[in-house]
Amino acid sequence: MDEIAITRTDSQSLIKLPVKLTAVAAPALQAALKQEIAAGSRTIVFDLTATTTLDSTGIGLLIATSNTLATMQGSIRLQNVAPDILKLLQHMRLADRLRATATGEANRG
Amino acid sequence: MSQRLPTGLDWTMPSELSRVDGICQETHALLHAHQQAALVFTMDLLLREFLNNAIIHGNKNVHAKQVQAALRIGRKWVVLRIRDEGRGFKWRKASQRLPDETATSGRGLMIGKAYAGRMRYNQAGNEITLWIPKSTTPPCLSKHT
Repeated sequence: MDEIAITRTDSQSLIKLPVKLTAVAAPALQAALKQEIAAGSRTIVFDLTATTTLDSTGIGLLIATSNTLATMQGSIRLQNVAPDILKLLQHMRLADRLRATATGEANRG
Repeated sequence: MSQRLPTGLDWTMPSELSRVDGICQETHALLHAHQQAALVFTMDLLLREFLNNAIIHGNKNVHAKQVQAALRIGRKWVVLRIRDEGRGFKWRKASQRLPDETATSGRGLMIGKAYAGRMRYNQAGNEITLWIPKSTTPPCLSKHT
């Protein structure tokens, strides 16, 4: 499995997601996310520069993280999302909730 | 003598999620050979979604239970069929449900409807057939662009 790179600054974590965000990759990422939140992270930024493949398990994990952080006045956002993945999230009506922005696009707010 | 390109792939595999990547890679190679690289994302998404469903929900992750899959590349369509050994599910009812935006699961059928031109379950609900048009834009997304 690909490496998940995490950088934490105060209460924000930047997580560089692997090429595949799928059912196979989800358990390792889920464990890493639990660790980040337990360590005090309340804003999690997922960088999808490398990510080209995902499935609904991967999407579900992002939503679960968003749900968990929302109960702690925290949030997530997705940056550098590939066009195919962004279209999928838009079609699922999840792009706004996950605050997803395309590759090279600045995230507002 | 020139060799004809294969127009399909067939798999029978144990219910292990780790097998899905290999099937996707074989499918990518076949799509590229047929000049259908534009379908790679769509096929990858559908394969993962419905193979995962067959393994997790159909065969309940019991490794001894098999998943059968077949892919055929036709003139206008790519056809994907996936079957598990489970009891099936009430797909008519499930296909009418739309998950709300906080739901962490239940988007598989929504993805199928969005990315396949046509989707059909057998009566029991343990075999799905998807017809994917050989075009660059998934059917539902073409309405938005």
